[in-house]
Amino acid sequence: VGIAFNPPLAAFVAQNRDLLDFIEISPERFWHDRGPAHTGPGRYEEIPEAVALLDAARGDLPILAHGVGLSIATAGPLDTGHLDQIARWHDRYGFAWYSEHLAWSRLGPEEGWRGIGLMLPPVYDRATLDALVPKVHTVCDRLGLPVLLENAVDYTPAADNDLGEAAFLAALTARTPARLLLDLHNVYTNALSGGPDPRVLLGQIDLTLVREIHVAGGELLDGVWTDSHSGRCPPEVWDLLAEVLARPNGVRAITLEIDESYATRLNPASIREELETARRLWRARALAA
Amino acid sequence: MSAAGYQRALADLMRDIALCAALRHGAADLVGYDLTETERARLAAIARHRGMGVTCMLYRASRLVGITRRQPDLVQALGPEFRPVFDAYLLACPDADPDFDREAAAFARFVSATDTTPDRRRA
Repeated sequence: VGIAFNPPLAAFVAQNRDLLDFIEISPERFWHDRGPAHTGPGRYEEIPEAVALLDAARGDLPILAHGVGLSIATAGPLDTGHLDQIARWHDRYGFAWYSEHLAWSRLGPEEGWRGIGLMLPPVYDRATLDALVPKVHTVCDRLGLPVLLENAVDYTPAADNDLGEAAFLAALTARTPARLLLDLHNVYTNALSGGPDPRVLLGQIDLTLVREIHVAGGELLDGVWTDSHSGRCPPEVWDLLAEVLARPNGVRAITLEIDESYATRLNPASIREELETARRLWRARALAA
Repeated sequence: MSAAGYQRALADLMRDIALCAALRHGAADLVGYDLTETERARLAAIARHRGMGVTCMLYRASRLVGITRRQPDLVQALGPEFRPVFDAYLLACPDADPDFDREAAAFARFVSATDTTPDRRRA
């Protein structure tokens, strides 16, 4: 059980290593990126203060990498410069694995790699699948470590996808070495926005392909439940975690996500309680196995 | 390149509330985008979806956070003019930069290059 590290959580991590088996970082939070349109040297500039916080807080905890900047589902070529930067950080920190969102956050080169401010889900159809498969192979080959793809949050789920999310994930993992990061709060959030029923969706996913689970909290915004990572996990998310762990699965890690803008407002005791809940469910799974 | 056209159209719908509202009410047909009929129908459904309002809000928040954190004095100085100036900025500068410093600098350049007095902006 671990936590998604961000600078406001540095003190918490340093003081609560007994509750943590690892930390997960988004490498992009530790550098400035001038973007894929910047083709010359100097695209990336590290943020020394953030890196120092990470190095001081981590102790000897293993690090998982959770990317937020590859935009692998962009309709266009893969951002190989970003992949090279992830590889450099893997050389430095020895990531146990690398995960990324199955999402797009930029338009392609014909639009100047324009950022869109959010991570949006791909269209779950065969054309998108065919475009993604070679990109995922490139990521796996370049990094040389396990690669996980995370199910996306979707506030406007479409009913006309010719595959659907579960079939899309099954096909992607069948055609590439990538495995899954199952974000249960995304599953919960999507259902509240009219997406698949969580239990139906989870019944369609081969959980032996899941290596990591994300849990998080959210909040209502204009009547819509959002994936804001704002703190306590809804009870329904813990129920989903218990159900996943009770079935045959390949889960190796459970990560609590807290957005840095909320981290300073949360009582450390409440974060510890969330981690203890995750640990209790994990131990129950181990005892049942 | 239909997939690229689809993504460009969806990104523009998030950014341009008027375009999104027009599509929602059947008053826009996205003629400037390379789209299949399936993609046009999907975008129209997304524009009508109750989650699209939140998606647009989250997009605006993603652009806003760097500006308010790095340029609080500029935001305060604009006062009630901030919102229309920010709306104009989103239309003129579509590249959402996750780097707070660069987003805030781009906004400051936009403000300095734009006459932000209400009468001139309306003109």
